[in-house]
Amino acid sequence: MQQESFSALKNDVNSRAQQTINGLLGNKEYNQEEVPQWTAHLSEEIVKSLKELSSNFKYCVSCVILQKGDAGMHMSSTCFWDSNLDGSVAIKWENNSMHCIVNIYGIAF
Amino acid sequence: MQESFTSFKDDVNQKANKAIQNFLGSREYSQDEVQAWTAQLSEEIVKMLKDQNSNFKYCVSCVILQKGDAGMHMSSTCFWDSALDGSVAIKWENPSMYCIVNIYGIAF
Repeated sequence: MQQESFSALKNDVNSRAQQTINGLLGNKEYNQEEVPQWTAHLSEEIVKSLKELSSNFKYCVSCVILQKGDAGMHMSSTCFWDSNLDGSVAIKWENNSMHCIVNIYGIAF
Repeated sequence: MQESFTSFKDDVNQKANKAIQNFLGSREYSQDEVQAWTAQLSEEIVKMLKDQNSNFKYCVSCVILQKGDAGMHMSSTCFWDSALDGSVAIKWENPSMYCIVNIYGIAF
């Protein structure tokens, strides 16, 4: 049987992750004390949702929340993997007070 | 017996720190050049990892954040084989910027 590739799941992953971020952060304002819980909660929720989608992959999810202010930020990823099977999704979300960037890497095993 | 990522974690940490220091050490945050820096750094680190151990797949992400008036937090959660796989998070800074590198090593 042919192994499933991550690109087959990409659209689903994207919509689930956007939904999760919106659900958790949608109406919130950047808050220094609560932000560490939000990032941890978000990345855990997203991993749970991915496991339900497909258990043929290992997942690494990182979540960044950046307050809107006076600072520039750039992010790059480079991966060494099997390009037929593995893949990644990068989600950029924002509201009035903050940016949220989620990186999802799906590795077949 | 399959090798675990933790067996070479310290090496990875050291080499990646050195790579960041050499690349960014003397530089000041520059809006036009930062994009090239993050891309080059993550590529360089992946090459270094492949040379160190080719029994793993690697995902490396590199963030450069200008020192200014904004708070930032970052978390990672992974679903993997905890006996074999692993990650390293490196935080580096100079007077004008922060650099955060996340390295995930997945056995296959």
